[in-house]
Amino acid sequence: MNKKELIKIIAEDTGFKKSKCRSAVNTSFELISKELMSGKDIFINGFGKFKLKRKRCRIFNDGAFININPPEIEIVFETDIKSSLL
Amino acid sequence: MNRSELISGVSILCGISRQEAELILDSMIVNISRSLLSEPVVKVKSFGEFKINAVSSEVNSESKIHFTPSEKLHSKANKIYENLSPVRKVFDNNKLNNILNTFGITEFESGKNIEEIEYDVTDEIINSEKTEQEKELPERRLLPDKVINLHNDIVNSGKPSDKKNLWG
Repeated sequence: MNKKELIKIIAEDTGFKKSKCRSAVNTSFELISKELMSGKDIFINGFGKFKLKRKRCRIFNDGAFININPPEIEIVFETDIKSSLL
Repeated sequence: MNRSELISGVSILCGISRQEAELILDSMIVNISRSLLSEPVVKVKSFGEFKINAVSSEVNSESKIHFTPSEKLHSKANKIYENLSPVRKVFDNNKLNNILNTFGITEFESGKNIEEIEYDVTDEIINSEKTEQEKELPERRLLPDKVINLHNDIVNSGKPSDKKNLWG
């Protein structure tokens, strides 16, 4: 399923116009990513939590080679255990 | 940010009422979760993908939604590290030891099983005492110069053919 199909289902579900659903869906994903980029977590009740996880820089030696893994910021999602649908 | 803050944000930005925004958001959450039961993946362009991970055991079985951010979102989050890439190459051990000693790390010998050295280079991502305008462009703590120099030293030493991406 992609965003287009999701919007279609939401429009059928709620009875609102597709354009209204489209702008609301787009805005909510934009808001979530904006909030993540400012370093904050987003908790949506019944769905889950989006958060940033910091992976540290790692240097290790596997014999002949030196490996360096640079640090990374991961975006992780934790499913809400109260979500009754799953 | 929580659900109700998201709902008010959407209702203000889209010019719709709170009730309408709430209905749409709830329907979105329900439909993403529901369609994951029948479809393998829900793709949202420029945001990411939702998949389902079934964890089942004899005691209990539970399913979890797994989210993979889009490349765009991931690179946006990792903007300060964009010049750093994983490295795997032959490097003089004595030289490495000297550099690592400056971090207070000793006894780093070659030939041993994989030895891991970790140090925290990203403590606080964001300074909480910022004005609203500054919050939009968060100032993240940069890597210490020593780490960048070490990285560059190893990348630039030896023949260019020795350069090998860790994942390549």
